[in-house]
Amino acid sequence: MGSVVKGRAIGREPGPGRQARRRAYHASIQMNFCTHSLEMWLALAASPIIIRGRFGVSRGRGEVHVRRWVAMGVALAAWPAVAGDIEYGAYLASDCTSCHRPGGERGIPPIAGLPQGAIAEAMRQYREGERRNPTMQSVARSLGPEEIEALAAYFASLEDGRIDSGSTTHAGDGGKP
Amino acid sequence: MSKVTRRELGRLAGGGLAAGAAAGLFPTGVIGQARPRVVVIGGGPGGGTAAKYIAMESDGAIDVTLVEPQRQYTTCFYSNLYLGGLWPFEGLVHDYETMAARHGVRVVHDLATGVDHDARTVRLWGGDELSYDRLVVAPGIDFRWDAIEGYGAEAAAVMPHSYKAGPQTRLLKSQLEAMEDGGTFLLSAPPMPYRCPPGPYERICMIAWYFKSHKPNSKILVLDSKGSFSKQALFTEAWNTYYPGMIEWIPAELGGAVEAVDLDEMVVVADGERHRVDVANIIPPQRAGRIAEVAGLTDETGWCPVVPETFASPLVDDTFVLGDATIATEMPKSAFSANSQAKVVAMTVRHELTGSRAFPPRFRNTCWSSVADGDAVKIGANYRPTEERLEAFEGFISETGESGQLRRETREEADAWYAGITEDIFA
Repeated sequence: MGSVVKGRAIGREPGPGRQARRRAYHASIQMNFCTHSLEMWLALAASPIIIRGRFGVSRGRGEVHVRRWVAMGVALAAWPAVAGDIEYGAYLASDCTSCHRPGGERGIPPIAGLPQGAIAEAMRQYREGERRNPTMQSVARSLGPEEIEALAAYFASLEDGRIDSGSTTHAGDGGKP
Repeated sequence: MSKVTRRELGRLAGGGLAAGAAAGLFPTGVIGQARPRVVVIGGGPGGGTAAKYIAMESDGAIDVTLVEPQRQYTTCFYSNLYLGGLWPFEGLVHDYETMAARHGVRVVHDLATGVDHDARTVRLWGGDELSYDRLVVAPGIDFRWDAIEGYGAEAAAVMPHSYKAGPQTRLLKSQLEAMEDGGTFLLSAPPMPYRCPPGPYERICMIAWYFKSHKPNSKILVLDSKGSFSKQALFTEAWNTYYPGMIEWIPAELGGAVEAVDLDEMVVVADGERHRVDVANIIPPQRAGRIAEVAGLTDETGWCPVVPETFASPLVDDTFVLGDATIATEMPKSAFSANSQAKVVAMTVRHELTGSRAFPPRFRNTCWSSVADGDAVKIGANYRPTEERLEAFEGFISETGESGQLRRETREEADAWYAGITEDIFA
């Protein structure tokens, strides 16, 4: 794509209003994360053990990272559906639905309704290269542990589309769903 | 285990809306208005996805109108497989009825002819005006009809571009079917940037596949305005393996850049040399769809700059641009890219209008190309926004010499993707 003209508008700089809006947007994203973390803290205050998660937002050349500490109870083990930010998972899942669909067919397996642990484990295997489909390796390597947990929680929460996951496989995965 | 549906998530978001409004968290002042309005111009992969996702995820909290002249949309992706005889034309055609019925998108079959940014209205060819709080423009591409001498819009009836799918796709197919065995087919590939970088080369494979089984003595001449192209090693391997001696590719530096056409003589002129052919497919240089320029969204390149994180226009307030019309370097112009960008725009628009949660943008592209029946290759990457561009990471590409089994599986994956993405856009 070398010949694509790079950068923003040439000759017409974004006005001060635009810059302010962009700043407000970034501020609101950070605010959102903070308030959400607070909610989770309150909700999970009774959890006996706290583990920490991290969330990076890349913005601009300087790679300013917004990090948040997320409280997640060990409730995880006992009530798997509780762990994982389902609303975030729903957003992340829109990446998946470009290809995966309920009902499914040969070529790309359906994933809605799969158990949370199965999705998280499959994504770990793609990250580690234990599963070979390069598209899924690429996807899995773009996701951190928190994202994978959120995705798995979301898909596990879906009622429809529960399909025998052994019926279809990804190209190159040697029979693994 | 508690089950949460998308609708319930919408309601959860609604609850957050009230709390957020009380706390004064929202960046824009639309709270209190009955229902914020979004107008989406263009019903392709970018606009269709944006309209559907804004309506679906907001669960009726946002009034979404999609403006698209055509009642049915024919996908450019997979139209090469139709040319090769591997996919039915009907399989490329989709409508907007499900999107309207299931998600409440109001679909207006009209042409957007202008935008008044101050009044925040879109003018339609039919005379109506649509008001918006946020505007999403996804007009796809237009051709630079002045770039090749003799190749104006009317010339496409003789030498089709077939790079906006529909009647043009059928025209090229019928010309190929009418051509005698032993004839010459010419494809002129455009300079960057253009829609679907591997598209012309997949097309060459698919037409070669058709020739191989129906007109094996025919030749394919490729005149290219570039010196290299997407997935080149993979395509070249396929040309040598499946279609030896059939295809001649001439890069720009060796006389491949087309300058003029002579429709009466069926001649294509490149670097002073006249190529007389039987069927010519001229894919002209491109720019953003017309309405983008009318709406003041393009720069001097003819394409639309965007803020990489949100695909907001840096030129016009409250307006987002999507898909092929944008300068989204390094993201290629593809249906997959447009679909991915649309989801970030949908999330951002909902956040701005209803205070729903904002999440970090995520961008992806994957592109499958069929090189023969039962043999497909792919390329893909994730993209992260920087100040100036979208930077690829964790990319991959098929390798030369892969097994037939893997290539068959990749084709099955491509077919499943087609079913998945068209459902994701239109249903």
